[in-house]
Amino acid sequence: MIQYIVKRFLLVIPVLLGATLLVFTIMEFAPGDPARIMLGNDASLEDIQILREDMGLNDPFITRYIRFITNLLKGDLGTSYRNNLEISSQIFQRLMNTMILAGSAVLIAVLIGIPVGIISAIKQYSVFDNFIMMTTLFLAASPVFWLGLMLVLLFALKLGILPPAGMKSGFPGLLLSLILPALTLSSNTMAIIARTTRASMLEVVRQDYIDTARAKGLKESTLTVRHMLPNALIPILTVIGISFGSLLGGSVVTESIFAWPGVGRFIVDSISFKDIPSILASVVMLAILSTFVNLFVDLLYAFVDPRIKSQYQSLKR
Amino acid sequence: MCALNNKITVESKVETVRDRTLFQQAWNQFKRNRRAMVGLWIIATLVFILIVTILIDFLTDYSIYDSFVIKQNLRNKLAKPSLKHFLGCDEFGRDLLLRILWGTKYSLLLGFSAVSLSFLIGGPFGMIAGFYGGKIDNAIMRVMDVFMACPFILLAMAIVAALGISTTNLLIALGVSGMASFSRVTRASVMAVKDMEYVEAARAVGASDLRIIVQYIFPNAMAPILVQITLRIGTAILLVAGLSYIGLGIQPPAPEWGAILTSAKMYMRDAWHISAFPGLFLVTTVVAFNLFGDGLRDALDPKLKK
Amino acid sequence: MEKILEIKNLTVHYEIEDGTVHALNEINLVLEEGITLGLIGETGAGKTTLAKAIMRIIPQPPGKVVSGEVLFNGTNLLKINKTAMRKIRGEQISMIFQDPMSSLNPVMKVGDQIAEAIKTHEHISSVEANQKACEMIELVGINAERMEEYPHQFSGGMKQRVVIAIALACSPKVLIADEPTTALDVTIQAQVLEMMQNLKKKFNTATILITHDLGIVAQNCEKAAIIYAGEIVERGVTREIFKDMRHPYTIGLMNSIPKIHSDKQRLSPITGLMPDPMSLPSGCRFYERCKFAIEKCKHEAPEMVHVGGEHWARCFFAKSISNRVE
Repeated sequence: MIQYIVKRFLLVIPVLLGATLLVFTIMEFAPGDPARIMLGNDASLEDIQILREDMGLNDPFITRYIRFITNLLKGDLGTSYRNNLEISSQIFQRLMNTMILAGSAVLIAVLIGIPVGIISAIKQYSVFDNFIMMTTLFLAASPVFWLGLMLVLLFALKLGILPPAGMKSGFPGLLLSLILPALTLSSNTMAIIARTTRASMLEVVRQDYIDTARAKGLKESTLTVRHMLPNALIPILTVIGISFGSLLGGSVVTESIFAWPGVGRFIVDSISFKDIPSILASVVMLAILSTFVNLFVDLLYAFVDPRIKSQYQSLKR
Repeated sequence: MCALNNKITVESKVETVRDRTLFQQAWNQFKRNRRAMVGLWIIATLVFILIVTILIDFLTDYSIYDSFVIKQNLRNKLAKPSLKHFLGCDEFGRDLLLRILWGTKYSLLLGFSAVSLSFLIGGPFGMIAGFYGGKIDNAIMRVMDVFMACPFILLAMAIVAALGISTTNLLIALGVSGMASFSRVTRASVMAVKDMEYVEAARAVGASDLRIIVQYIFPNAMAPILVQITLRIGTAILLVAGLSYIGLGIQPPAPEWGAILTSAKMYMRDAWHISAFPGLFLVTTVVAFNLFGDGLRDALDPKLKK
Repeated sequence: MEKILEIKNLTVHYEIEDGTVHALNEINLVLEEGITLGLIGETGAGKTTLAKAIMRIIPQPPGKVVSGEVLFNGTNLLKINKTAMRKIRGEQISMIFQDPMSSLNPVMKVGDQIAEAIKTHEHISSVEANQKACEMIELVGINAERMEEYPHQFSGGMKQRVVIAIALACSPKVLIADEPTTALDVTIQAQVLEMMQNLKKKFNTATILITHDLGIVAQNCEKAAIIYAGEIVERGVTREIFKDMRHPYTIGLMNSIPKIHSDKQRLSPITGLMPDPMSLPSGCRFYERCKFAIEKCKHEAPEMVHVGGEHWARCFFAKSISNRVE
């Protein structure tokens, strides 16, 4: 089992390298000379050249890329054009904030989406089921930023019970300011999880082993929890894993609406300032985060589905 | 001799009947699906609006566009919905309904073009990977994995950030970011068809690889691909709006739905209509494409026949 | 012998979008203690519906028990409340299903699935339940060490043994086996059937063995009933039926079996298909395919005719036809 985990970890490394290379290559296309930007437009060509040599900007692509990777591993994410500060310190806290937001969004999506999906499947064709299908249809199709605006309109402006923006600290400030952004961000994923859960449960309900279990004389509730749910969870896990990527993307917009001090907002700001290193570092960090989450979900599979577990256990022998 | 002739004519007749009925069958199945038809109608309406607005612009040389959609009329600033202005006015006094209607073309055209681009780039890769398998498949899929490691929107943002803000760059960004998932779908589709017996038969008669791909695999693998295309147009539309919202897509004063929403936040307290309506149009459009795509999938998938 | 299960005039419909499926029509069957009753029929005849109706696990929409009684030791199973029925399922009456490949929960250990059956009905500790499960699994010829394994690690035949272990874990009085060996190879089939015979002797379980294989019925069932288009068309003691078939359908079935020793060049199937259960004919349901049919059969539906002893057949000609070799 450990061997399987290690193997998966190793497989992730080339993907990570590839992803960083990809983003690095994309940012290469950005116009503008970093040295000039730093020294200002009045600087002489000579000074610029000296700075370029200093910063290693004249080195070939591969060398610069390798330097980037080695720095990354050391924890150095470069220096921002905007304020000449180290990016690592700027990003770190923001990464935490984004993770709080995305994490809460996943939690909400799962805690609401799965039970709703289960009930919908059990009571197929009922009023509840139809209502849920309608609602999820709209939620899945709604732009995150618009939902955010609507929620702010309702809860913050009209009802005035929740703060419209910003991240407060401490308790309960943090929680209150977290509700609206997390709810907004989770809505798409919640809808998709609910639908997937429903479809998965419906699929499971038709299986023969459910008949076998029923013929044993089990209670319906026991049937649902012990036989249907564990089998239905497997595709749901896939969806959760895939959703995390779009959640991270959605956080960009959500953070803008709610002035949440996370990495997403940092990226948007950096773009308007054409702060290439910041953009590069942020996107790379998020890509790494997303990859590790996917890896985690993959590993979770092996624990949840014994068929996969034994596949990899037998590889050992 | 006579019997042989009869046999041939009967066979060809059977074939044309079958050809007609296959498409007819799918269409009949689709028609019975009420939700899918609703989706189709909404899309048709939107396309109609699209054509009308483009025509008006063309015929009036943008004069209507300029005077109603762009020109500011501060007397009507933030007007609430009324009989004169059905959806109210924005912060510059421009009629919101007209702005939204003129914004249709961005969402539809960009959404469709972005997805087409993703398909044109990713599709061939997927088909080659699925068809040849082995090392080629592995190599291509590794590359796609790399693309998929990065969240879609972030990749698009990075591309726009690097290339600069313009409609073309937006298109490139969306097209390139989305190609990885298309390659997966086409690959899966091709792999499913590749093992079918009629492909083996074609090979036995000596058809070249290219011919097999184009004449046999492509038409039969198209169904799930078509469904994916339709469903992804919805996602693309949301992405265009999202990128425009944060200022990386279509720039104001162009009335793209996401762009309209950018400034909406500031005026939310007094003018909620600016926030509400463009979003509603977005939701409806995406829902329509989703319903249509679902209906298409149900109609084209023989296994789902009741 | 005591009657342990008696089905009286059972009629079951399925109400679906396009119409009503008349799955079972006035079924009458009797099962005595310790007896194996073979229920023979082709696909779609209503065998599984009957089995599920007895267990009361037909999904209630769209299924509907229109009329009839299922008497288990005198109690009508269709009328008792859900809790009482649950107690009976698995403990008094058990069922095994057709396809062993999909009959077991893939994410649950095999031992746990057997123990679950025990714990549902007997108030004993987990440890004791596991103990009994061990005994059961050994009884069906599987090493007790394999209790910790998952279904996908077993072959088809072994999976079916596990299913049988689950069904017999609480020593039920009645076992309904829905085509238990159809999905298995012939050699495995023989093993499983032999095992079932031994277990039957040991527990004295009355069994309804659903199958389409006349050979299995001949070897394992004391009594037999043939079901066609939702009706019982012939029933009685197996030996009597096989020696002297009285319904055209049964005769057709027997004749369609290829015989190694005969010189025939062509097989003689029963032409045609079973009638659509959504639009059944008003006369005899076998009319379309019957070699002996006359005009009367088209309009009148025959009742069961007593042919002798326990032998009944649903045909106007029951008393006069016999096995005619074509």
